[in-house]
Amino acid sequence: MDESIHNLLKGAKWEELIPKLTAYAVYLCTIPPYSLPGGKQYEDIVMDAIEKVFKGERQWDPLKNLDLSCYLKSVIKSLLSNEKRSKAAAIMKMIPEDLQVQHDDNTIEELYCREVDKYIISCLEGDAALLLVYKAIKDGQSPKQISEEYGLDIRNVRNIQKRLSRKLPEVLSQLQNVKNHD
Amino acid sequence: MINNKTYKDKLAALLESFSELTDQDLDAAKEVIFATGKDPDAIVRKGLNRLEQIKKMYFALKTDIAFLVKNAETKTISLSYDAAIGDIMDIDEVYEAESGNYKWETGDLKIRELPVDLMYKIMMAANHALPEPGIRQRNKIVPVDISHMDYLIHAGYFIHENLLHPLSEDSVAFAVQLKSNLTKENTLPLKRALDYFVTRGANNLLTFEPEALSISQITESGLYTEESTLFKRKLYPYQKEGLQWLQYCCINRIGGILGDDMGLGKTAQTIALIAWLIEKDILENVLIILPSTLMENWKREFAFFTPSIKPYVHHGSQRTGSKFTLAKEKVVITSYSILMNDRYLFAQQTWGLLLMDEASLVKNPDAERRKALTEIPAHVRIAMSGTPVENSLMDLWSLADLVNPGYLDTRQNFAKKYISKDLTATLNNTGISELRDTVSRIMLRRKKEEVLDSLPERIDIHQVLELNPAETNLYEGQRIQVLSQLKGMTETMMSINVLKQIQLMRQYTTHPFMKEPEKLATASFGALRDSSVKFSRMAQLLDEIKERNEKVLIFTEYLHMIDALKRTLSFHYNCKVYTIDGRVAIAQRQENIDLFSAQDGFSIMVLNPRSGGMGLNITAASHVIHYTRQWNPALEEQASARAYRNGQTKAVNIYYLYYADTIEEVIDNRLRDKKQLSGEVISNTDTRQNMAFYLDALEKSPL
Repeated sequence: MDESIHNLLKGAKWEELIPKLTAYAVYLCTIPPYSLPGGKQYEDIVMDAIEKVFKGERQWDPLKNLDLSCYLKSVIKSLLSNEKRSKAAAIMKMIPEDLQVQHDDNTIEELYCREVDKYIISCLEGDAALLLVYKAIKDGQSPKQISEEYGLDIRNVRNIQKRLSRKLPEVLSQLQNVKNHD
Repeated sequence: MINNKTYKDKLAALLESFSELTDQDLDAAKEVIFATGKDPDAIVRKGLNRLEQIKKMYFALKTDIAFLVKNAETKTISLSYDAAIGDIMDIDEVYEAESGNYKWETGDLKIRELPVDLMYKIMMAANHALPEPGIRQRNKIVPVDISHMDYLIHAGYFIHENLLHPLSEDSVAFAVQLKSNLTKENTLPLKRALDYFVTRGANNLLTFEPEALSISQITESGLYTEESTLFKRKLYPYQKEGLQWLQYCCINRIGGILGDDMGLGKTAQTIALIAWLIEKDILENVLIILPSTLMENWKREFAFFTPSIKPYVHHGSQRTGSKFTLAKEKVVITSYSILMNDRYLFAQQTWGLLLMDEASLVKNPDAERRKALTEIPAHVRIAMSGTPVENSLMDLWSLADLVNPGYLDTRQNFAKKYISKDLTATLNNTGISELRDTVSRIMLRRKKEEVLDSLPERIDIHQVLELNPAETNLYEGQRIQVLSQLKGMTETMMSINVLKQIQLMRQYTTHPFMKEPEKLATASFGALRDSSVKFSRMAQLLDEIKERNEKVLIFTEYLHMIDALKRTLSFHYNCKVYTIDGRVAIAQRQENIDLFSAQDGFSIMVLNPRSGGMGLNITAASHVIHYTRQWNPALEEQASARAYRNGQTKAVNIYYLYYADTIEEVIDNRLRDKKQLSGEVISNTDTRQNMAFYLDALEKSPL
């Protein structure tokens, strides 16, 4: 590994990056196909990702992806999804071939996500601004785009976004309960 | 299209958006974590800890791989890889000595092709590797005792400015770091071991060239001024310098030759060294090998200089056969002949310091005792000899090779380079000055005239000897006989008889053949030497005096012995031996002295102290040997004054040879006591003898 990359890695603000990335892992694990592997915690996944970058198993190229945080998120995402796939594959292997039912994983996930969406909307009902911004963000719009499209002050959009994010952990934990219950 | 996104994508986008928020706001991120029931600060602490481990492990791995791959361009790291077991069996650098280049070994894995999983195995192997720091000397790498590395570093060796060139600052740092990283078991943690593994080549170990420093640089550096508190006597300035040089040799694992002239105190210097080694816990133990004639002398010297150090004497039929007994001792003394018998016992442990007194006895490289010596493993070898070069330059090679194997090249190459059939050609060899310079780095040789400033003009050397078993039996038989005869005698009768009997005992301490005059009259030099420890020691002294081309007076009062000495010494040393005793006419005596003085170089004169001990001026001699001790110390002083008197320009060595636990020891003690009292030589009028001394002398038993 190039010496300069070593220095960049060593110089990163890990005491801030670790909680932020852990929060990201928390978010990610609430929706399929992402899930925590057995016996691991959110922070373990974060550190696994960091380790892979240090080891060079995941090669970070600052010229292509300047933001280390973004790069690490992609690694975390990949780790969480890989885990799911490998777990599924392991389960599938245990089932005799003639008994295996071909099905579309995406359909199931999609159905689940629709349920999640419905659930979030139901939680946000009664707060129009929240609902509006939620839907816009869900469609991939950035705060700036939302501001322009709906004629809202950008600062207002961001505030709503923050309110939404503060609300979300509550929603997510309820959702987690529902998921576990299922 | 955004609207065509699946619910999954939509939720993902939502979460991405939120994570952007938490990216900007640390508190927000912590809130998310907190909502999952965890403590964000604990997570940060846990994460940072793991990060430290990751950094340690994988930075090292990456650096090391890079290092190894880089180095693979110039040198090979050979891996013995067992495909069946799938494990690294051995890791080593391969160096092709002939061409001086590193090369790929056939069948070895090339390091640049080394897969990562094998790299892990290297790390595991390195984890179990014990570091073996060493000092790279001329022809070999001498391992450094880790437990003493602190001292090595602090003692100044590593930081001496003259060594900084061959020994880089990096190496010093490396040595310090290595020491600090070692566990109690002298192992290294995984990461450190790998660090060591990859950097050892770069540091070239701790390189060292024995010739880097000269004696003056060592003494002027002031690094070795420390003396041991165990050493209770004062050293002369030149002896202090010698001690510093010896300390330097021991610290830096250089074999050395202490070649000071006889009488300059080689024994004192080496005992001071031993005291220092023991006090500072440098070099674990010391093995001293010497001629059996000097065994008793060394014991006494230890008692005199360092009363708290009691050497273990490995001698006689009751000696141990256990290596464990020897291993427990700090200082072991043995003789060359015992070494021959017990060579396997001594070879079973590595000695810290191997000290060889009178090393000229092991100069013959083909001799069995010399071979036995080289078999004994030792960190440092010091040879002591007043005559390092006796007959030819090969003597020098032999001694140098004994203490520093390979230092002067092989025997054949050395002979080819320096030795010519013609002595003049050898002396004119232009390489001789270069050789002198090379040798001076491992040999400290001071001549008397060089250290005259700090040397007393007269050097009294009391040399205690031990009777051999045959001599002991003779002496002891006579002693018991005397004591039994004296029983029941009146004092007057006793005084008449005891003198006569003691006279007989003194004959035995002169030579056992004195009892059989015919045998004494015909015995060869070898026979006389082999049957008497004192004669043997005298011969060693004469060898050294001859090598120095100086003259010697030998005092003995027995005519038979004077004749035997004249006959055997003139033949053995191929020189005329002059005598002065009652049989030589007074006019002839001065003529003998003149002839003796006029003779070039080495010359011997044997005198009766009563005939030749007074009035004569023999300042040509600079050595006096009191072979038969005089009951009257004043007589001995008179005899010594033949050489040590006005007009003498050299320092005079006066040897008092005496046997331990015999009447000679009583005589010797008496002489020393008198000297201490008066502070100078004993008065000529002091001839008082009393019965108490006689009886005291008779109490002494060599058994």
